[in-house]
Amino acid sequence: MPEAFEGAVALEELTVAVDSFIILDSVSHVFKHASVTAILGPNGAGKTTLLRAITGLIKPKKGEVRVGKYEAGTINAKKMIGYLPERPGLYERLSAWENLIFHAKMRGLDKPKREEKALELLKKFGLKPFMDNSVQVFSKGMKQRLALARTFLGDPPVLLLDEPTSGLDPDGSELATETIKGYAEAGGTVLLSTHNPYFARRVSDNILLLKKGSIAAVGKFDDVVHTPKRIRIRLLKPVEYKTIVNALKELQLRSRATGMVDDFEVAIPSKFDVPQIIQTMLDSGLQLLYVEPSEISYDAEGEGDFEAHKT
Amino acid sequence: MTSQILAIAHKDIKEYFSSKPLVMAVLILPLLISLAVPSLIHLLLTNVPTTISPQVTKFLPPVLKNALITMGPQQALYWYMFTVITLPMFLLLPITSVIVLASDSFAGEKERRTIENLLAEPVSMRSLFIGKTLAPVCIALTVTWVSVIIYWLLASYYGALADVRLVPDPAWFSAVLILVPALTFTNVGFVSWISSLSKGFRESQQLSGVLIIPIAAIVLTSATGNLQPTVSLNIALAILYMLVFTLGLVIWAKFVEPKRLIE
Repeated sequence: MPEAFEGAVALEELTVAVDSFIILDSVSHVFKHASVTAILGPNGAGKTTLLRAITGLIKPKKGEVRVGKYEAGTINAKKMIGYLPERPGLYERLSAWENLIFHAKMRGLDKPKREEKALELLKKFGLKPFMDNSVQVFSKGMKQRLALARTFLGDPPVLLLDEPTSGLDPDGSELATETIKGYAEAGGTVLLSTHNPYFARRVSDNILLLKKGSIAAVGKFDDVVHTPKRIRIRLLKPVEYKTIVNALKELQLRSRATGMVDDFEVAIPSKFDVPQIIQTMLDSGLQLLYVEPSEISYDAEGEGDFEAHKT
Repeated sequence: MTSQILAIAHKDIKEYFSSKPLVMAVLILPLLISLAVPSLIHLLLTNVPTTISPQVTKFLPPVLKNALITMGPQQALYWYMFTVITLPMFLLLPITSVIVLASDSFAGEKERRTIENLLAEPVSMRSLFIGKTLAPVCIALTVTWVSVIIYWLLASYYGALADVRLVPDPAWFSAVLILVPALTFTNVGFVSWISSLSKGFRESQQLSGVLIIPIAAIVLTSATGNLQPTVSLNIALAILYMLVFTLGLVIWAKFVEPKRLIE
């Protein structure tokens, strides 16, 4: 590991294992200042473990993690990090205000500073009207907002966010996106893990794709993530399944369902075929409620052709 | 470091007080002891003869035998019952009243998934352990000392009714003011240690139950009059307990890794 490096967070041959099971295998990467990196990958790829290793919650079996010039897990390194775990981890019997004040105290902020900062964050995340309410009455989205607000206490130069949009409604996601982007523009470094590729595309400068504990790809979103192989179609009203099959017959798509259906997925040869599929369905008299890309795959293998959900 | 310790303890105390069942669990036993025990002793002493025959005297504990010689029968019996017999109760009281809180210290944070965030804060493991221990200790000591005051007010009142002047002697005072805090720190520290290594609150509480065995042994030994407290013994025991606590703290901070707490 070089003594001085350009990045805010550096991983050098990072290997994390539980007993003999390797979770992260010789991961090396430098996360640069003033950037947002989204860590993508399927379940079990090692995203949460990577963030925990940078926080110092998990010690590497081999290799090194540095935050700024400090070794991960040291008090100085922790001071540089604002961390949002996979679950909000709020003290539910305390109020939103008390939660923020407690963590501000842990970050060493003096009384006027912590009260000013807590109030600023509550306002920013739309929680000021509920600041004295016990967190246990909060909705999932409100808890996530509060947890996200907490990471900004003390203005740490590095944010580690594990699924930051989990439980957030579209407005909340938008707020999170804007806040994270603004933070990076102001010089902060953000590493976030997410299962939501659309959020990743919107918020991040770079993508780090993890697979089975190793870096599979690093780069811009479109270079790393494959085009969706399926689209999801939701109908306004359920129809007989054979109606859909008949409508899509011209596209030579196969089907595997019977009965009434209002929600199904269609495999697409390429993204350029989507308008044609939609047009064909509309021409067949099907009333579409919405069409959205199905889950983006991180590998090159295509999935099944046609799936539907009965009502 | 100190501010972080106090912040953790303050946060935990706030959490305890937001739960009515927890507050009740902490208060019921001390209240019962401080109100009921002096009344029961008074009832007992007003209904038994205070003259003791020489045949009976030889079977009495040495502490009481000595007291009979120096104080006279009635004064000695009151003194024996209100001080010697009941002192161990106040040694036992702190941990029994907050064993639920101490068991919850780490295990509760694990169950409620708040521990990960706490460990990510720039706080040393040593400060974390002290902070988590301090909250139950503060509550235990407050509750115990308030109980002691209520107890002595009642004891003095009942003593006065029988023309006996009852005041806590220096050994009693030193036990409550020096030994009890040291004992509480060690016991709560022990339970917190177990709590940190347990998967959940229930497991933590069950394992912590073993703590009652050595304490109960001390109580029984003391209640038979075979262990007479003295100021120097109390100070020596307090130092010993604090050394045990410090050793436990150092070992915990050195060998327990954050990963172990978030598993």
